[in-house]
Amino acid sequence: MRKRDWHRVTTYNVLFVDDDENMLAGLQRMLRPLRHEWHMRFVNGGPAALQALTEEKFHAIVSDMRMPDMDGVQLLAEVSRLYPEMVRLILSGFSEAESVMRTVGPAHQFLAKPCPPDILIDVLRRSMALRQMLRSDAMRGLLASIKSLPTPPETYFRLIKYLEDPNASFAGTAQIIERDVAMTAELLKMTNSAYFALPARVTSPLQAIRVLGFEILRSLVLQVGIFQSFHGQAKEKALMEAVNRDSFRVAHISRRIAKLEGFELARVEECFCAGMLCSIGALVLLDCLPGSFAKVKARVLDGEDPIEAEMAEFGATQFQMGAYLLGLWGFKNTIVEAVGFADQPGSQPASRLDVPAVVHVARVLAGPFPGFVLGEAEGSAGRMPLDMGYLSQLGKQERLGVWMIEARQVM
Amino acid sequence: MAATSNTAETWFRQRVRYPVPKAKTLLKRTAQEGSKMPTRLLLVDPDCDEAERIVALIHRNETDAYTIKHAQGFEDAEELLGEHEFDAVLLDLATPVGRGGAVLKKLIGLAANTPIIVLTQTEDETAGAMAVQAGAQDFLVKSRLNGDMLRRVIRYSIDRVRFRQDVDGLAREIAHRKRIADALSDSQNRMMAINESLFEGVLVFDESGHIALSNRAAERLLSDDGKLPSRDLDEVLRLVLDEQPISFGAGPFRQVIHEGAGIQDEDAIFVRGDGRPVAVAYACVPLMEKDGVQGAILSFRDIGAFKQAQRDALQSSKLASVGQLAAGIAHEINTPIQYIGDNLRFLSSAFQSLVGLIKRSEQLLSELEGPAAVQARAALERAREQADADYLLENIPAATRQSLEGAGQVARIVLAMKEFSHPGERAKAEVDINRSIENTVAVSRNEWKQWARLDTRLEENLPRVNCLAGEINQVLLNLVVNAAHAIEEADRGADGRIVVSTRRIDEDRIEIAVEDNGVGMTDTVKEQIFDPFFTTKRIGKGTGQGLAICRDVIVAKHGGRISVDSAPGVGSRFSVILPIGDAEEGLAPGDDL
Repeated sequence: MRKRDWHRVTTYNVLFVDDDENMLAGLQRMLRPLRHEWHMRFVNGGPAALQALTEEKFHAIVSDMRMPDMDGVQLLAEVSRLYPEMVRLILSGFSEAESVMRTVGPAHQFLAKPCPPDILIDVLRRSMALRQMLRSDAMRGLLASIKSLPTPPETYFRLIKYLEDPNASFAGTAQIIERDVAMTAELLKMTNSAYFALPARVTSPLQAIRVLGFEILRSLVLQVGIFQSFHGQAKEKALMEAVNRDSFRVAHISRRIAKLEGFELARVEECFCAGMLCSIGALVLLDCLPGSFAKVKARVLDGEDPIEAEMAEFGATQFQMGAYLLGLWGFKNTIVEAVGFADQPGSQPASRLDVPAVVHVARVLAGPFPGFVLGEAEGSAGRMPLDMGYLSQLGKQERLGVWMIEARQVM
Repeated sequence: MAATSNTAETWFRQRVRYPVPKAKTLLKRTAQEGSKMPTRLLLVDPDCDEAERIVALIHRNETDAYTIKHAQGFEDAEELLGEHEFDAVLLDLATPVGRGGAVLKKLIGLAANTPIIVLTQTEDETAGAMAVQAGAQDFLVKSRLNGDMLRRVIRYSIDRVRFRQDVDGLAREIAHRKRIADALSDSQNRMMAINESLFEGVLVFDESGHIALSNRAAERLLSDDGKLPSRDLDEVLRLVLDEQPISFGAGPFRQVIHEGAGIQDEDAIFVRGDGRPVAVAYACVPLMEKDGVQGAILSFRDIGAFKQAQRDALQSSKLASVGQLAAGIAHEINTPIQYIGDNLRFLSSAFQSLVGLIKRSEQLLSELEGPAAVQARAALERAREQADADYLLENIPAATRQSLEGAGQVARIVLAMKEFSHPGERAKAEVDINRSIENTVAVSRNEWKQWARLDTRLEENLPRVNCLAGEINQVLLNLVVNAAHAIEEADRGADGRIVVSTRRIDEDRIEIAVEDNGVGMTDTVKEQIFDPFFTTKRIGKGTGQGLAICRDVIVAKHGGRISVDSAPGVGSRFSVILPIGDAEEGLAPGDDL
């Protein structure tokens, strides 16, 4: 009785697709111990996968890349069209950069064969856990079907032009990318994909560019088109630019606080990265649902709490949406959590000051979110409260004064 | 330099002879002189009686020495001059048509090279003098005429005009010759200038292999200080044939002179006097002179840079195809590796479950009582022995564990191979050198495992280096393989040892060192090992390109250094120093807002 209840609550349906029966059988045997945790089906080829999808609901699909009839990219593109909310993963032994880059759009993550079982299981478990982060099916569908994020045209074309310059430097390229939320996210997603098989995940655009090198970066930007120029209205474009400036500020405040608190270098960089990416959810809303976004903005200007306004309009906060997207794309848990709980880090247990707390403080100290309140804020409109209870629980409330001084230097 | 130019000049002066024009007979005497041709005279006199008197005076008694035509006026004279040739004209100035001076001018115009002797009326010497000034050869006063005088004046006038013509001819000839000489000298200077400024090296040598002429390019290509060590070809360069430098006497250059037929080779090697090899394209043609083949002209150019580019292109296309192959193979291998691993893990955990089940069964059986149970336990014991169960229980987990290790090893090698070959990557990126070394060690295992043990001592947290991953891998592979060959040659048995280590030298540089305890090398060898084509390996084993490529990759492409420490019989240590590169850092955080 108890078992069945548990089963119903946590069932997560995963579809595995490959054209090699041995491969499917091997996976099935290897994943057998998880049979109580997940419902798994193993089908041979793309058409069989699409058929299976009509028969029952799946939350995630793990597909091979090179298959006859229909390859992994085609299959996942079709799945993305028909079942946008599904988590889509590629598990492939194919290792040519070109074909890997083709997966950038339709696949959320790329895993390389041979993939150790614990990594495959971890990726699937995380995608399952992400559902707890975002409960709205509609929003999950929206985020999972996003192929790329918008970059303001000026930034986009500045980068294109810069990359055509034969004297372009890594640092110069990074300076353009690191000021743009969308480019930063896309670049880190690509660099951390299993194809490049990095021993440690990179968290800064400069690191990413250095690892990729110009040749790959150029083909990613110029041929694959991992970055997209924003095509919407001028008003939204101006907002988007303000969001990018604001995010860069949050990133810098996060980094300063992290340094001040003696974080080790890797965590300082994680703070910067999470600070930069914590408005990624808002960017998606601005791009995909400008009407709803405007409604939230009106509510906030009327004095409503931004978090409550977002919950009312979308059933989720922009931070939750951002975290869900970053999670789908395989970003580090630290960063996903720091973004997801940027409004209330206290909802996650913590024993010490860590990335989520720093990003939260930086987000609040950077002022009201410019997507809602452009220019000098009137009173407290759009301001997010500091989670004082959480800070005192960490014993850090007296550091606030110092942090505010740091933040002001960035402002 | 001046000395050699002089040599060249002397050589030219010796060889290039002035083409002497077939001497025209400049002072050719008129036909009249040598033979008995009569002197042809035209007498212009309006007075027929006077004319007759003068003709008689000239003739005296030798009528066949002169032929004399008489014209009464200018028109007649003009007509006769058009029809006949005359050796001299006698003109009475008192011709009725106009003033005598005008007639004289017209006659000079008609017969420029025919002497005109003017006859004047009595005592009219002024008119005579004026006529001479106007171009007449001489004048005679009619009243004082006598035969001898007339004949003498006629002859002198003719001779004078002829002499003047000869002198003019000579002057023209001299001017002409001067022009030819100037042109020749200009052309010779131009030839020398061209020869000196040629991009190609030029050597001219004779039958005994003695260099008669060299140009600057040849001197530059064949020596470091621009001076040829000797005028003996063998001490300047030797052609490499069948991987052996050969002397002039035994080589094809001498054959060129002997057989009079040229040869050329677009891809050859000269060994210079100092022993350095140079990659060249050359042509050697016989030098033809009047007396046959006198020597040969060798022209050649350094194709080292071209060869380098060719090697680079070949190398990178080799790398690219190896890379593509590796990527394809990786895909083919990775899928089976995936399910071999999956199945082995399944087998391992399934076996554990079965063992648990068996143990549980045995336990349950052991708890049973009664004769049936005793019988069953005995039967089970026999069955266990028959099945060799203890052995299985012990060995099955080991078998699966070892198989998994093997599969992991295969996966690592496939990944190393894929990463090592870096398909299609031609731009610099930041590379984890330690990982490159591990990949190189993995893919080259077969090259060294028979001869040596290979240890790595890689510094942790070595900074990434901005470099061309594929080419650095190539260098690492070359050094490791060279080390293995050196050890193989030293025959160290079980003691062969290669150590690959990395360390950070300072802020900007790292060092990669490959040490071996192979044969080592002498200082002479050490000096040459980075030269292209140099090899100490036996034919077929080394191309002599490996270390030259290494130097090119490290020094030219990365601004690094490659050097070697070595002692014969002890071993060698190659050191590669690489700049970490891309020193520019992102803006200091927070400073750019």
